[in-house]
Amino acid sequence: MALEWIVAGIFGALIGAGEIVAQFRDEPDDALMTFPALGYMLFNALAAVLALAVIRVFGWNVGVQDPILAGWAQVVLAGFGAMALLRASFFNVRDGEKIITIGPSRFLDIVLVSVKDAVDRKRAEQRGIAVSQIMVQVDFNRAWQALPAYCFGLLQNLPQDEQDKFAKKIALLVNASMSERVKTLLLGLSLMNLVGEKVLATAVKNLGDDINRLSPTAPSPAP
Amino acid sequence: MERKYTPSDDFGSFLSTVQRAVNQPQGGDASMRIIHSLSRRKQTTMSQMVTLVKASWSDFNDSLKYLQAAGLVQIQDDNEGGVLLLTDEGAHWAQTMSLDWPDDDPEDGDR
Repeated sequence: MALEWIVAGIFGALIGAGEIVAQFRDEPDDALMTFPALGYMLFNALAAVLALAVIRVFGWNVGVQDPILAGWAQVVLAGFGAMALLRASFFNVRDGEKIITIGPSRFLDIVLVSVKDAVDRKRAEQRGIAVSQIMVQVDFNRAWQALPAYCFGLLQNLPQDEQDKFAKKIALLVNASMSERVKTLLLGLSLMNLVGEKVLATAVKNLGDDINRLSPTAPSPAP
Repeated sequence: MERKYTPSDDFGSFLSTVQRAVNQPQGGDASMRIIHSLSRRKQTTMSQMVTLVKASWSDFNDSLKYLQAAGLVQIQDDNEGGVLLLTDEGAHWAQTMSLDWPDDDPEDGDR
């Protein structure tokens, strides 16, 4: 039945998508819509379909007698089987402090790293453009406390250790000798990594004149 | 004894940490020089970095601890006492900070 092959492929693709989403939690939809990520999901889908083919050639029905149920059991087995097989390692080799895995997982690791690099490159361009557009009017000295606090307030669930780590970055910027423009871009970039582009844009819009460098009304807090 | 209930808030931790961290020793400009050097070399041994940064040992030490805590730099152990490299976010920072850096850097003649 053609539907079973399609479902097996979708199963594999979803597992690949899950790995991409886990690595790009801030903007998962953007990451999934890149060609390398789509290629990675297609690769996982083909692996699941191939696994289903192998299961059917050998007639493994996983102990289910009903032919229809056995077909679907094979689909589930193919999805999980391909995932397990592609992520398996036969043995580990120690090279100094590094442990190198030998097996199909090694190949998958290499594919995943190249996907991550390609996605990172593509998203770096998008992030750079987005940050410079969102932060164009923002004054660092007015925004370094108010903007992150407001963004975290919108998110509501940012863990305390993430807030502490972010605070250390901001304190580094406050004391650094670099141009205000670069400080503002770095503030925006770090915030975008944590809260995503949409929340950052909303926060900048909502705070408006309070963090706007062109606004004469807002007081400028001393760092 | 009655315990006072303190509700968790969404940004209080950020505000209190940032106020403390602003006055905390961060190693001065050594932190920025470490990021700068790592952006050009990808990774550097600890001993090489001390020479490149040209800071006092205490400033270097403060900077490194601070950058690690901020998640911008990581240290990998090796036989020579540690290799420094930028995290993904540290690399993004370095890319943006390069807008402020001059193209020619006499310290980086070996790049």
